[in-house]
Amino acid sequence: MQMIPEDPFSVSSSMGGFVHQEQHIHHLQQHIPDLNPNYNPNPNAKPNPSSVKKKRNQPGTPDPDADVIALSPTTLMATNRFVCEICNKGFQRDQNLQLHRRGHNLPWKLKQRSNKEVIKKKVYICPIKTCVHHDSSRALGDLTGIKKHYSRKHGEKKYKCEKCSKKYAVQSDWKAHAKTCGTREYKCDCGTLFSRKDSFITHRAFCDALTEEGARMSSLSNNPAISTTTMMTTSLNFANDSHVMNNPNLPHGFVHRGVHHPDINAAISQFGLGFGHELSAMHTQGSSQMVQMASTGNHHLFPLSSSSFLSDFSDHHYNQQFEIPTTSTNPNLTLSASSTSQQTSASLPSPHQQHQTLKDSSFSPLFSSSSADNKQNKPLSPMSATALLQKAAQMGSTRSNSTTAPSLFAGPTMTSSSSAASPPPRSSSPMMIQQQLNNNFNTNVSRENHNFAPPTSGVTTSSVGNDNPFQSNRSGLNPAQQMGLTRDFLGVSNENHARQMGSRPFFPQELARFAPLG
Amino acid sequence: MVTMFQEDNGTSSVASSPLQVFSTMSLTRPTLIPSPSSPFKDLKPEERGLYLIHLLLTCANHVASGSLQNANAALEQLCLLSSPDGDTMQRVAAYFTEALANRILKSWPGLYKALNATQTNNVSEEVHVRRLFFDMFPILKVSYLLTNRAILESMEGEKMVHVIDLHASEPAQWLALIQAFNSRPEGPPHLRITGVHHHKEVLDQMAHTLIEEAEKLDIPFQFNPVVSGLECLNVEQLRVKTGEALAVSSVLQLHNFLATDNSGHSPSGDSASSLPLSNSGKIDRFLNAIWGLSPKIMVVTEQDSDHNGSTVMERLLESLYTYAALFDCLETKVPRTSQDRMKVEKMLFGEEIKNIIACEGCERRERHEKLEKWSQRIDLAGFGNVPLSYYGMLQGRRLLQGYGFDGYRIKEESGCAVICWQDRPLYSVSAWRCRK
Repeated sequence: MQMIPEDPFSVSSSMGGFVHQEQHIHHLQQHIPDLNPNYNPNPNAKPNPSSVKKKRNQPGTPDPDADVIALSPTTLMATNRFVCEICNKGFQRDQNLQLHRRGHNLPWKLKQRSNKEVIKKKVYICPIKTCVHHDSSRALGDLTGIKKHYSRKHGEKKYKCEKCSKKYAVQSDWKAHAKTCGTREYKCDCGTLFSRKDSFITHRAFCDALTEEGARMSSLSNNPAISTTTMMTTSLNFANDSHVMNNPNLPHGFVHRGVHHPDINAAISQFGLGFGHELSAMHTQGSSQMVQMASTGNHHLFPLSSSSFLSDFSDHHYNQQFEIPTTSTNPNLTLSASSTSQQTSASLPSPHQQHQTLKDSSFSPLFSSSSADNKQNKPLSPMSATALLQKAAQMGSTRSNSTTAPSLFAGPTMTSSSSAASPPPRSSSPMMIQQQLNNNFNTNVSRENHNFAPPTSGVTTSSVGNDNPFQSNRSGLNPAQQMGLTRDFLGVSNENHARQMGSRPFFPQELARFAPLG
Repeated sequence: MVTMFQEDNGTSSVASSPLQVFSTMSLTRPTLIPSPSSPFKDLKPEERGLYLIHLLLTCANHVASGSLQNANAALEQLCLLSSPDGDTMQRVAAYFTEALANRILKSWPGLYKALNATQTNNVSEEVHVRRLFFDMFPILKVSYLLTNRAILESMEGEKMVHVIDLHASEPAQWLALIQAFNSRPEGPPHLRITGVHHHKEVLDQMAHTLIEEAEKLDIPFQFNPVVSGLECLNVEQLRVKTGEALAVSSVLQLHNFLATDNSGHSPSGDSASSLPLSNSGKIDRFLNAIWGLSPKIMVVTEQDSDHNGSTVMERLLESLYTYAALFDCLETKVPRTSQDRMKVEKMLFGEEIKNIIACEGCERRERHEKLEKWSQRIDLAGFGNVPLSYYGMLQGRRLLQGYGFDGYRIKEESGCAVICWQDRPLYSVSAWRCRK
């Protein structure tokens, strides 16, 4: 049973170490110290002459020539088998122990393996009977491997990943997982996170957000007015310092594709990239709908065209301040929607113009606009809350200055009249506002055939506004009551403050009108 | 018949507000066979809008003066006309109505608390709404852009950079910074970002995103989460080391520190710099603590509106304008049917409005103030203003143009940027350095 070749020199020289090792092997094979002696089958199931070129066996199918070794669970789980007698430090390998013993000035002997003999391959099987690898034909060839297998399959999972709470029995497994945990994730446009590619793809197929976006995108592209613009969106030109209109860029979701100017755009596109899909989802939803509305609006809602506007846009060079054509014919036109309508009604304009107008139309509100204000750069539609507040404030301020009874509900005539007489610009003179209010009021009034004489008496100017409003507010509607324009449906009783406003002749009629609201 | 008692002082300065006058004006209505059942059916939207404003102001008056019967009547009418899914004015009015009602309710604290007893805080919803705000408005994007630019410029030549984010909720900001640092000519510094937030999950998500990006670009990077509310933050937790260059970013956080119980006298409105600053205390302590860390740059983004008046009427008037502007923005960008828009309106703006109108004292945390006041405060705390660079402003403006956020403007005001909507200042971004 000696495997040492018949070479006296080698025998003698290597006797010490090798024999020792051999005996060790023998031990293992024949009678395994502290181990279960039962397992020592002969693995020679398939006689397979060991060829010079070692081909790789299937995992768990060992080399038939190898010695099968079965280690007990204790051995498999043992971490430090070799213990130093001086300090009781444990080592996994004998070599390490020997090196350690040098430190204690103890005699040490490093075992050396002789290269001349063929070392018989060792394969290991798992001691658990029900395990796959318990069978000798499925033995594992690596000691470390069998140890890890034993821990993984039959051992206790002591290591836990912090991020995902996954448990591991082998520390190296745990560490490897921790490196990649959560790093590779897929994110759907709707915001859900996935760690697996397959589940991600499945989700996306059914995700609502995507289908919506897809629908909008397709509907957009169907619209001829927009499709030309989408083609142009790829070239963003931030380098153009002068004006935006030379950029064929559509707002919102189309913007962050194709950026030219490196540094400035980089900063901006960083934001695009960083949250690109969310942005695009959001914006294409929002803006595309708006743009769609705008374009369809162009076609359907604003059918009329006064060709005078075409001239404004026929050349490519516009200034940034868009002239808002006042139309008295159709009060429903927005500033640029009107311009757009002109364009679309008169054949497809050039892409630049299209862009421009689309850009406008998507931003300026599509509500009815009477604020066709050429002077200011603020196309505030009266429907916007800001405009309403301004109007209210103006009415309040002109109240103190005005000689007319302001009518808030001038009805539909408000738009037309205001479009005719330049609607509330921010810094208009009181007289103008007064005039306008007069207009409103009168048109309103004329409908009902009332005669409301402007209460000129006793209306002082700014002092009224300054002192009294707050007082009046404190007590509710008193000044109004005093002035005779009572809306007493809140049931506020009168406190008599001295009011500069004279009494109004139409007091009873007003009251009557509001009776049902009281 | 109704007891009217004055509200605490500060009224005279508001007297000139034209809106106040408006609220007293009569509202004549044309024609109309008055029908008792639905008197408002045929109101044109514009009329309705104006009427809503009138009602809101009237109601606020009544609430302020304590005449609850009248306030109740006004509220009823408001509910008839306003709606969270109507037009802009209707929506704004709806949230203000709710806020006013809450204010009345607070006079019965037990009742108020009981009605809110089952309210839960949904973290993911909060995060989602915040993200929606980021998406739907350019404000945060511009703020981040300007912040990053200021940081980049001040950190030129620095090898060790430590950035503290006082409300780390949006990774996009720091993603952009990481990328910007990566492409600077001298190469990226060793970057450390400390994020403060009261929810751990948000910080985890941010950590993950940022670390991934840094690894991709191979930048030495560290993210330190600090799970803490800002007010109970101990600066020791921030672990600022010597030798590193410190940058602090505060986005819409500082105003919370102004909330106290003692009514800080703050006369309204137009900021003259001689106005006494309301309520020192918490904010000053905090600013001092930050000053103690010797940051190289501190960038502050805050609301630029005076919502910290001492009377509810003042606050209502101001905030009406502000939120009207914000709701207008949404109206022009997002369709009315959008659920996301309603979420932002309700859970973000609605809550702010509620806080401004209905709450007082420590509870009222949305204490927005004008830029001038903030500048004063921060200056007093030992910081010197760092004007935002021309390049930064250019980037900001380009961003607005590029994303097509029309109607927005960036104004410059003594070195600080003010983001306006149609001339209404909304938010401001300013940069400061520690002055020793």
